[in-house]
Amino acid sequence: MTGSENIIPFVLVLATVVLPLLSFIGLFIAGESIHENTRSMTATTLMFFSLCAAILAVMYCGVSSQYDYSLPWFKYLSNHQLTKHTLSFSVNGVSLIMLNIVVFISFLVHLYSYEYMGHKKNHVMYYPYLGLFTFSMVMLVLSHNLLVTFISWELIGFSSYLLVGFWFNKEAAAQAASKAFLINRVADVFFLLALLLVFYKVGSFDLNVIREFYIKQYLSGYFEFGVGMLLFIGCMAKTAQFPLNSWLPDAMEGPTPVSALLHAATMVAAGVYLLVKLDFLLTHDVRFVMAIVGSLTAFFGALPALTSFNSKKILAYSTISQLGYMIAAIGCSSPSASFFHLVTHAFFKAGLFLSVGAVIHALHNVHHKLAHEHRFVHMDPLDIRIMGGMGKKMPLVFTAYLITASSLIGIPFFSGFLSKESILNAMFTFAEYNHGIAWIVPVLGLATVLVTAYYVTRQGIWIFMGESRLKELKYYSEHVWQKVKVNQPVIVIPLVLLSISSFFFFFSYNPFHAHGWISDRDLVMWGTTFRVFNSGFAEEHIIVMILSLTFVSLGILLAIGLTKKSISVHAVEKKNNILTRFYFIDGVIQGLVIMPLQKSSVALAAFDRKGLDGIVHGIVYVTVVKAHIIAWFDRVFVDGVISLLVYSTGKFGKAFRVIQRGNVQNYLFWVLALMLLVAIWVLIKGVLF
Amino acid sequence: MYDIALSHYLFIGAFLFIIGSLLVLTRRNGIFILIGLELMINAALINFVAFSHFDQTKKGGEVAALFILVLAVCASVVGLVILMKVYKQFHTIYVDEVRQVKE
Repeated sequence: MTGSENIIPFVLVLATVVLPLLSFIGLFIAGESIHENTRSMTATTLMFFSLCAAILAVMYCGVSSQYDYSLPWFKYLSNHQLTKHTLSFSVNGVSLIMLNIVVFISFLVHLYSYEYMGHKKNHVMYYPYLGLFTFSMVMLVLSHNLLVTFISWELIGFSSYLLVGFWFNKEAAAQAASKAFLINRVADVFFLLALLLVFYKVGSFDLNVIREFYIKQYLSGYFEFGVGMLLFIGCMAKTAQFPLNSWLPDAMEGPTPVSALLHAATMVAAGVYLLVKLDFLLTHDVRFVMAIVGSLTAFFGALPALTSFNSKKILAYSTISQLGYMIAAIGCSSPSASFFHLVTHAFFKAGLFLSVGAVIHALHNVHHKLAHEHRFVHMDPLDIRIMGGMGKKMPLVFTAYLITASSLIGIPFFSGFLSKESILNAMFTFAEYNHGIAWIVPVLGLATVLVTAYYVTRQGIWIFMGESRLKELKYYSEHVWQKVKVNQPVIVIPLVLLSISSFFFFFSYNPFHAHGWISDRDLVMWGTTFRVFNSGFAEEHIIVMILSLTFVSLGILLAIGLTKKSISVHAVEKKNNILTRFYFIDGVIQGLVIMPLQKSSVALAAFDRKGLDGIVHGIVYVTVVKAHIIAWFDRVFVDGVISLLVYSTGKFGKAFRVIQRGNVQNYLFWVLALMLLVAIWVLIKGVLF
Repeated sequence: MYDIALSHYLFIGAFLFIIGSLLVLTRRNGIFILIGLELMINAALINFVAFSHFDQTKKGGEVAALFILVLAVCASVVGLVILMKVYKQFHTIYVDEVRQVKE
């Protein structure tokens, strides 16, 4: 293999790729025959080793060096040119950090699922799917070849289909999985187009080659814009930008650990990671579009969370909103701020999902135990209207929720504050630089801060504060609730670790300002430094911090004030308003795409029946008529000739038959007559000559 | 006085032949056909005798006449036998009633 000669990073990185794959293959083949707990432990152990390999890799390599490895893959001859494709991997600062995040959160999810997914349906396939997903995510992170990236991109989409539709017997889950997969597929068309355009111009999928090409060669503005735009649209579905994001709220049908892994930390971040890596492919105009779309997504994605009563859906809307921030940051020419937010978001969002998941798990247990006692209570474990008082019941979970939620809102001393500040700073700089309509970007960004603070506090109050509203359900019994405990280590450890990661000290010495420790390390990407965790070329605006802190406090206070009054089990959810139906995106897709397709397919079927079948029938008729004509011809003419022959022969024969009548004397007469004639003739001949 | 020339004998022979053939061709009665046949043979005999009269050196003709006469008798006998057999089969000697070849 070519590239750096140092084999240790290669081996370590290879371990991180291979171990999840082993988990997938092994448990897929042999999963049914081993006990549920053994399955969980095997998968978790493999992930633990993978995590160790990842940590060792980052410790060995450090974040400031780059190792590129490429393995020969396949080659073909076309137009007398030999094209060689290689499996290239790049181990650099950015990919190592992303790798660690992915593997770490995957490991925590594996651990958590030991308890959460115990005794649930279809357990056999859970860990294999998780392994497949982790494998494809790690491949995406490490790959330096666009084709491998695309393959892992598709694999991620496929694993998410498997995981979201995990409980496929439920109609809603199956539909949500298909929706997620199909919307991602639509975007993948654009991604593939971008890939193909690049390959057409450059002749290789290898990112190093492509980057050289982009730096050295002049490319037409249209081409660069086209490729950048196609790439962005390709990433739009995964990173849940409008309008390709209606799949994300529905994807909450999957198990909660899956949501924590996919829809908080990894799959949705794949798009952002890719855009950060391929930042050189984006032009100024594409970035402008990204900034606008990102900020719109951030604001409008967060609004439905204000009125939703589904705990996981609130978090899904929150993810959409934060992803909008990340994309907007790239658009504001600050991929470093975007990556920073990606990292912090992974930790606190996963923490949020897992803590809410602990509450949901407790409610599942209650439901289960009540069912055992033949009390069939109608309750949806995800509904926040029946929660309440969880703070007293599960203090550890509550603390974890508080910490991670504060990080999400952007309270100082937490990591989320630092990353959000970087992004808001970048947005301000962008607006100052571009003037005019560009000011909508920071305005929306700040407005989203307010909205985020409101809905997160609202969710916290509904779930954790006050008294438990479970007693208001029919057939409910209190002693069951006393028995349910949420203090298993496999639940607690992930929560603790994720909460700790949501504090500021991992990222900066100064809780208010991203400096020091990791932030100041120069991450190497592309052989040049990439100052991560810093807002790039932006100057820090103090006004940004003041405004954001104001909005945060305003949001929290508003939430505390307004929510207390409306807490009730019987709170009614408004159906069919613009927020509940998610801006009618699904309706638009139904009307613009699905209905015409269905109508046209019905029309085509009718055409096939009447038109094409009619043509076939017509041909049949013509052929039959032709056959009749030929038969007539055959009868009249061909047989007629034969009949004529037969008739004439008969008549002829009859005419000559009269000679032979059986009368001997008649024969004798003719003999004599003819002999006489012959004699006369001879005589005459003799006389004449 | 006319000498009797060869041609006079031949004419008589021809004349008798024609009468004989007429008898053969037109008579219904089988016996008459045999008579006619006999006449034809004798006509040929006359031809032989005539030629032998005008032949100076050899007198073969009369001998031939005797042979022919015998032959004619044999032929007549055979004819009569056939006629007898026909009569036994068909119970009639009228030859136009004897037909197995249908029209």
